[in-house]
Amino acid sequence: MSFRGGDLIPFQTRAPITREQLKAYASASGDTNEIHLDEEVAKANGLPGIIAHGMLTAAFIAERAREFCAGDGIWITHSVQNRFKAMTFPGDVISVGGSVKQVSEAELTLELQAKNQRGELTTTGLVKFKRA
Amino acid sequence: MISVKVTRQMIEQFSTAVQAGVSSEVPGTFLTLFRQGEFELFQRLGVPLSKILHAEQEYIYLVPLQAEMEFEYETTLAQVLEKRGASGAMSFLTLETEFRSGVQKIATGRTTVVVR
Repeated sequence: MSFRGGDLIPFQTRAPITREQLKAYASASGDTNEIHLDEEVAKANGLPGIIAHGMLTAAFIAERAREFCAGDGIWITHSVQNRFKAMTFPGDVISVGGSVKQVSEAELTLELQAKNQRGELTTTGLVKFKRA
Repeated sequence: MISVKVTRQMIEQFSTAVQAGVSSEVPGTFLTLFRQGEFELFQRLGVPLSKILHAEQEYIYLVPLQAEMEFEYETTLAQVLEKRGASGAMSFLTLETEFRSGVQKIATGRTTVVVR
């Protein structure tokens, strides 16, 4: 076991969120809620404009977690838990990092945060892995 | 009860959309493809999707998902909470989805949304 509780997961920055990305995500995930796709619908529903799918940022978090433990033998994803704290808009730049919350021979729990370019927390994630 | 079959194309399309790296596993949030039960439940409750914001999400995998796997899932309304926020009353709905392959439970999803 090469990880210790408290080890840092360095923040990594994604390319800016684009409308094309949200369209592709809507199509791939089946979440075609129009507040993610149509500016007018978003505004008619009291939003400043199109907002990104929360689950897109959640996917970035899960991905960062997997990438972090990829070099440490085979860890299988057991659970992914997210809380959505603030909205993400096209043009926003998301960075994901965090720390190792708990580790044993059999289990690894990572605690991650997604922040935007202003440093605001948009999403938290707890990703738990089990040894294969 | 909704029946699905995981296809390689679903995995590839989703992995591309979230810019996932190469892995033998499906992306960690892959179960989000199977929200049809939630959407149907919202429709039955008369809640338009455009009024919904995601507050929390949890997915628990009891077995790894792979291409060609077939399973069924069913979504139920687990909890309704009314809260008074700065912008008036808001409802928090928690939906639970159980994924089964025959009698074997393979995964659970728990979604909490805010209805504005």
